Amino acid sequence: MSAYDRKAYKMDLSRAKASLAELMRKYTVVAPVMKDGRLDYAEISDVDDVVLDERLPYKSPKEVVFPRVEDVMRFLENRAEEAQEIKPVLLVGAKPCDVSALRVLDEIFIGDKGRFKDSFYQNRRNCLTVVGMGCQEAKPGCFCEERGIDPAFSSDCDGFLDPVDGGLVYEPLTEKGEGLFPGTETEPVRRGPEAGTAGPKTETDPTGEGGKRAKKLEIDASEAEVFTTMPWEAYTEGCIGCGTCTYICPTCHCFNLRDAEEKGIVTRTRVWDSCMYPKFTLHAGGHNPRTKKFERFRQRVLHKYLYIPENFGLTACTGCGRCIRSCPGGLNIRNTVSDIMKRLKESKEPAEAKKTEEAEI
Amino acid sequence: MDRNTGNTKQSGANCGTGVDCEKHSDMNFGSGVDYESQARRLKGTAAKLLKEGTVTAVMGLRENEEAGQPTPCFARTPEDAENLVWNEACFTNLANYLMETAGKVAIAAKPCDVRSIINLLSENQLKRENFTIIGMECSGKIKDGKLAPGCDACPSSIPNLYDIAIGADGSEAWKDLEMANTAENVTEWAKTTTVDERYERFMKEIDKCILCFACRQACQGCYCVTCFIDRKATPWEQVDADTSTKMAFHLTRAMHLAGRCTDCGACEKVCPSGVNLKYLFKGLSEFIEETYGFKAGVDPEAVPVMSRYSVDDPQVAFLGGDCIVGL
Repeated sequence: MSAYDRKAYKMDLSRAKASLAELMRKYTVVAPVMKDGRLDYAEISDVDDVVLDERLPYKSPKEVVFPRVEDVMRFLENRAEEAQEIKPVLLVGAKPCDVSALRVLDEIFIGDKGRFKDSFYQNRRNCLTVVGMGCQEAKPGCFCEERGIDPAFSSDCDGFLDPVDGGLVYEPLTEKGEGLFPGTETEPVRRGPEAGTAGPKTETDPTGEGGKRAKKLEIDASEAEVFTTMPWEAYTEGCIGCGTCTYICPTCHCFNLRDAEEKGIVTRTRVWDSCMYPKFTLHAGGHNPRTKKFERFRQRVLHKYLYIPENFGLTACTGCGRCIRSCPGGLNIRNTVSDIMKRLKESKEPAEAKKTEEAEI
Repeated sequence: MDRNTGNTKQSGANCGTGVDCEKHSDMNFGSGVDYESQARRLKGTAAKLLKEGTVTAVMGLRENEEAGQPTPCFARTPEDAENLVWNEACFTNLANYLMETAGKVAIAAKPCDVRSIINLLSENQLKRENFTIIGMECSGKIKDGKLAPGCDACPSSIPNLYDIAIGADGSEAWKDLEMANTAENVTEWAKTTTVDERYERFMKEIDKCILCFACRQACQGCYCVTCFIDRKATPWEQVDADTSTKMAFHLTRAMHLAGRCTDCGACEKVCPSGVNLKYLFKGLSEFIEETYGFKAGVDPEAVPVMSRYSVDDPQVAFLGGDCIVGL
């Protein structure tokens, strides 16, 4: 994507909104809107509702590719058919953490490393166009930069909008993103230290990974090193087991399939599920391997920071901080992971010191 | 915080949701409380209990900037007690945690926490000898720049069960502060609206619901080992995985809490989607009080209203009765 011919188009806000109105004929447009005093991604019916600025919406936009409830199959008397209904969706104003989350979901549902390709996800992804926008609002609990994500720019989308004096600059990044917002041709907005914004650190590193913040939040250890040695019960003390963290997370993707019969037709529905519920791991025989809250929280943390990296090659937490802000019990995935990192370092240090000592002898 | 300037000052005020606090400045909530003195005394009391070994932990709240509100804290050493906070944002109901703690503990409890504790005691879910109640006088908490859910209907600033009293001025004496009492009268509202209007209000609220069940988890009364909604193959799950399940869940939960809800507002406080359904529970509480003269969370010795029967009971709630709860 970095090789894409960098052209950009400048327009004023009314022109941008006119383009959006035009796009609404072709796409279901999902964008940040203010509803009941809260900024949230939602399907828009009026372009004037769209909030095109650099603030992070309350919930994640994952529902555009992974709806909370979705009919996937129908079984009729003597045949089965796919039941998915899909329309082309344009996601406008997605913030870099949420764009990165889409990359995580892509890898899990349709990536090359996976054993299966989820066709229902694939169908929705094919119909999705993402226009990103920078984020200038570090809310309490935000830690995207520690996760190697650049809050000012993401190249993982089809086009990128940048607010400038007197309007917006739109830069198409893929063929899909070409021509969405026409305007006067101009230079792409320069990002980087010299432009005074936290930008991609170098042109050859468009994802912003390996940037100046070397201390990246990740668990570099085996499961055996952390599974029983870390104080998981202490991390989980305040948990009420509500599952809000998983519902509000941009990368949590566990689901359940339910078959329901009505008037002779059986519909198979995919609904969100959550590893924070005790019944999530209840086996048919009655055994439950994760009956305690700390076991469930441990699963959530390690799934994001250990198992997905192992299986798919990327950490499944984007540092959006939503789970931290919405947790009624005060659980904090960032502090948990950094505490684990600290403990791992401390446990390794004496061993290394000993090694040097031995070498000297 | 503004990423470029490092400026933490927000426009308006510190409510966090963009609500302009000046609008609320005329509201007289949380008045008459000296939080600093109360907090000092709470820390001292907790440290003393832990030092003496009377309890193994003191449950309270600690500062949590990232969550934007104080969150639960379990102080286990006298030094830990320093982390306890007590201020206008300490609205979390801690009663639920008592069900999970082993050994003797102490709990910093507001009137609503205590009402919940009383309900749990009357339902034999807690053993009184296992915990010490540090009663905290409270005239209402603030969430998002407004009076927190439940505080608008709180009857008294004084907890009606306690072992150690921490009054509004930090002393051992109660001040008996004036309460807001601005909650809507749901029974009145139900009588003066049409079925369609009531249906519309209910649907508007459940439309926001994402079925995460945070309300159930936060509720003191929802302690069933297996919630009815978690049982597989329930008929109401069959037709529509969305709206009908939401209706079944919220209406059944409301019915299950009739005469048991203590109006603490925990359900609305934890909802990530801003669903305001507490009015259903309040309507039922009003109905129970009017019909059976019972209020949950008042008397730990009282037999729960749904566990007793008298031939003199009014029959309005039975089929054929002239029941105008009509929610």
